[in-house]
Order: sequence, then structure tokens, then C-alpha cells
Amino acid sequence: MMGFAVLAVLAAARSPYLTRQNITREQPVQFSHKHHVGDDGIDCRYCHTSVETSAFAGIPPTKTCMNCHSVLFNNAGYLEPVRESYRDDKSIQWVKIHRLADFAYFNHSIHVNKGVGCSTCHGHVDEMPLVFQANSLLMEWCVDCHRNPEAVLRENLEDVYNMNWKAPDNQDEIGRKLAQERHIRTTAELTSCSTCHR
Amino acid sequence: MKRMSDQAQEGHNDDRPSPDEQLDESASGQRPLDLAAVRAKLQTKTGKQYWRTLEELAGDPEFEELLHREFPRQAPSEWDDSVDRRDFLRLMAASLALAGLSGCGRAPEQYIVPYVKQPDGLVPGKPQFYATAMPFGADAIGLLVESHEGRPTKIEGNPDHPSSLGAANAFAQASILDLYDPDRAQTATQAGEIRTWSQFLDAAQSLAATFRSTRGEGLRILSGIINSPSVAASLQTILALYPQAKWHQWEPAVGDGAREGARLAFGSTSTRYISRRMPRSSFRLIPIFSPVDPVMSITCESFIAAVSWISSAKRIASVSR
Repeated sequence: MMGFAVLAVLAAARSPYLTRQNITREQPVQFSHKHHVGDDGIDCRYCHTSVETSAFAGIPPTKTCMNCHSVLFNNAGYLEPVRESYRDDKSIQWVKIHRLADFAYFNHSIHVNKGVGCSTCHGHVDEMPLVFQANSLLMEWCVDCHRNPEAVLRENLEDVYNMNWKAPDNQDEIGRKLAQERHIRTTAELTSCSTCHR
Repeated sequence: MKRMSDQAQEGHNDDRPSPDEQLDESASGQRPLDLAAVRAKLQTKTGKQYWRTLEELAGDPEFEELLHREFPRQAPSEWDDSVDRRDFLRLMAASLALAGLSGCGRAPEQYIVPYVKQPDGLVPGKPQFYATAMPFGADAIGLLVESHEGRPTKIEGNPDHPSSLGAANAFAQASILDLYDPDRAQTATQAGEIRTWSQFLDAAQSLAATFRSTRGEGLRILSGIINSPSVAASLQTILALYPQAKWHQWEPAVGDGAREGARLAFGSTSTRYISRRMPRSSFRLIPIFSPVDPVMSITCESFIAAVSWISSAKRIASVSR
């Protein structure tokens, strides 16, 4: 009886209800990545400017929205929160979707610079009208990849931002070569506690 | 009248005790002391006897009862014992054990609050470094301030500044805390009352007008040593506007003795701080250690006291390594 209770608690802790995997959430602005990335083909880095240089990929300032929306759809009602933010100099408060625990260190720049693509972790963002978390972000999910990063390394670094990248048939071979070329650390180092828990 | 109104109220509240009962209660609460009994008791006592109250001495049964109650005042001394101690502990243990489960709930919502207009040159998540200088007596230490999205977090020496060479002393390190000091003025105040900036300007301007009419008679400016040319120039302007005003400077540990000694030794009288009223000698002792010389320091904390010693320490350390 007690054992079942413990198992139930453990199972609940990994359930999408708690990890919020695949759950879309209401945002102050109904911003659609599907429209901007999928239909318009805007590069990830147009908004997430610091993804290559900083731990934080960057959430665009309202100014970035207004670059286009001062002209395009500048009367649309659903863009009023954006115009209001720009007018009143008050930030838009976006609901954080990908939430890592505070005790886990994560750096975007090292991942994209070594050839780990956006879609590897964030899924098909170009098909998400409202963004949701495509993966569990549980430690086991991080460690899965840190044990075998060769499987996801993309040969062409520009493909990192390609939402439709598929691993080629000889990915094993390419991955091993890339890991060596790009000085990817050994599995022992990548899975050592202090790599992520600094 | 009072009695009547009391009685009128009485009529409406049936469950209140009757006035007679109330009287009885108050009488039993403060029963007049039986002084005769007290005297009789005292007659029978011999030797040292202690009592706390006259009631105790009189052997008042009500007082005896009070002594045996654990919480004698308003608190009820008999608990409602439908839950005994063991049951209570059992329930508490279970609650504590289950309280851990609340940690398994969903994490609370967090928000990302980006800039409206991001400052130029800022990379979110990366610190920015600002070069500055901290006045320190008659000197200044060149510093670099690390700042995260506008919040300064760490102060270190500026490697490109000759007075620092990348090192900073304890005062400079600790000055980061000054930036978050709750005692710093957050707003203009007058006698503790918050004032707006325009109210401050109005007050300052009316004061300025008063002193203009008296050519600054009675105006005194107190300051420490001024080593900023812009502040010195502003003070010059004020003194020119108000010729009768007086400027007093005081700095307790500025090394005047060392300067005066250098003046005696080398005999120059040029001025460093340009002021008609308070000329300051231009001498500064900046020891430059040759790496091979032994250094003997007499009553001088060589690497702490003066700012120039920060760079000296750095130089000596870099050679002696």
C-alpha cells in the first residue's frame, strides 16, 4: 500500500501536469511562432538575438515587435498590448514556458555554437501557434543527450536554426567526427554533476 | 436615568443574567476581606510567617482554589480533552509527513520581462563593465563596475588605470554595498517629509535669491576635499556669485603631513586645487618601488593606507613572484 503511494507520487512528479510538457499557455499577446517562423520565415536570431553569445537567448524588447508592427497590422486589436507597452514604456510580461530549476545551469550559446539545433530541444516551434514545452526538461532528458550528443550535432552550423533538419543516415559517423572537430567534451565530463549544477 | 436605560436593555435580552445574579457574582469576586479573621490568624502565628496576600493569610477558600489552578486568570484551566495528547501528536506527525507533498505541486508561474527598448550594446545575460573612479581622500581609485541588466554587482580595479592596475582595496570592494544602502536618499525630503524635485528647486531658488541680495553674507559651504575639477569649478562659480560666502574644507586623513614634508624637502609651492581661498599644495607622495630594493616601512601601513599603494602592491607582487 505504502509502496503504491510512493510510486504514484513519483509518477505524478514526471507527469506532463507537473512538467507542463505539451501544455500551451495563455500569453499577454497572442503571438504565433507558427506565423512568424513557419509562414514568414523569420530567423530565430532576429528576435532571440543573444542566443549565440549569451547563456540567455533573449526575449525581444517591444521595440523589435514595433520594427514591423508600426507599419504592418498597426490597427489590429490583438496587437494593442504591444502598442500599449511601447507607448507607456512598460514591459510586456510573457509567461515563461521553458522553466529550468534554479539549481540547473544552462547556457544557450555553447549548445548552438557546437551544433545543437533549436528544434532538438524546443521542437517544431514553426508549427506552434502558441509555444509549448515540447520536452519534459527533466534531468533524465538533459542527461540522455549529454551521454550521446553525437546523435544531434548538425554538420552545417546554419542548420542549427533550421526547423526541418533531419538526422542524415550516417549521423553516427558524422556526429563522431563533429564531436571531435568541435572539441565536445567527453561523456564523463558532460555528465559530471558540476557541469550543470555549478 | 442610567438605571432606567439599563432596565430597558434588560427587557430585550432574556438570556442575560438578572441584575441580582450579577450582583451576587461581583460580590463573590470581590468579597470584602474578613479583617477580624485575619487578626485572629495573626494572633495565632509565631515566628517568621510569609504570606502573599491578605486573602491567603485569611485562609480564603477562593484563594486556595486559585492556587491550584494552572492558569488562574481568564484562561480556562480545564481543557476540552476530546483530543488527548497522543492523538494530537499522531495527527501532527501525519500532517508534517504529508506537508512535504505540497512541494510536489506545480511550480508557480514565472514571467519574462524584456526591455521595451533595449539599451545599445547590452547582451541579455552578459554583464557590462563600466569604468569609473572612486574618490578616496585626495586621490581616486580607478575601478571597473560589473553590471547585470543595469544592476551593479561587483567592483574591481581597472587594469588600465595607473592608480589601480586591476587591484582594489577593501574600501573599494565594499563600496558596492553603498549602492544598495537603504539609507541613501531616494527622494528629496524636507524635515523628513517627502518633497518633489520641483519643490526642492523652488526652495533652492528662493534661498539663492535671498543670498544674492546679501552677496552671500552668512552662506557657508562645508565640504571634504574636492578632487573633481568639475565640482571645483562649480564651487568657484558659486563663490564668484556670492563673494561674501565662505567655503570650509576638512578632510581628516588626507596626508597633509606627508605633503608638507615633501614641500619642505623639495620646496615647491605650486597649487593643485585651484581656489582663491584654500590653496592646496600640489605634492603627492607616490612611492615607486624598485623591485630589488628592500622596503622598510615605519608606522605606515604600506599597502593599505594610501591609494597609490594599491598599484605599488601590485607592482611589487608582480616582480617578487
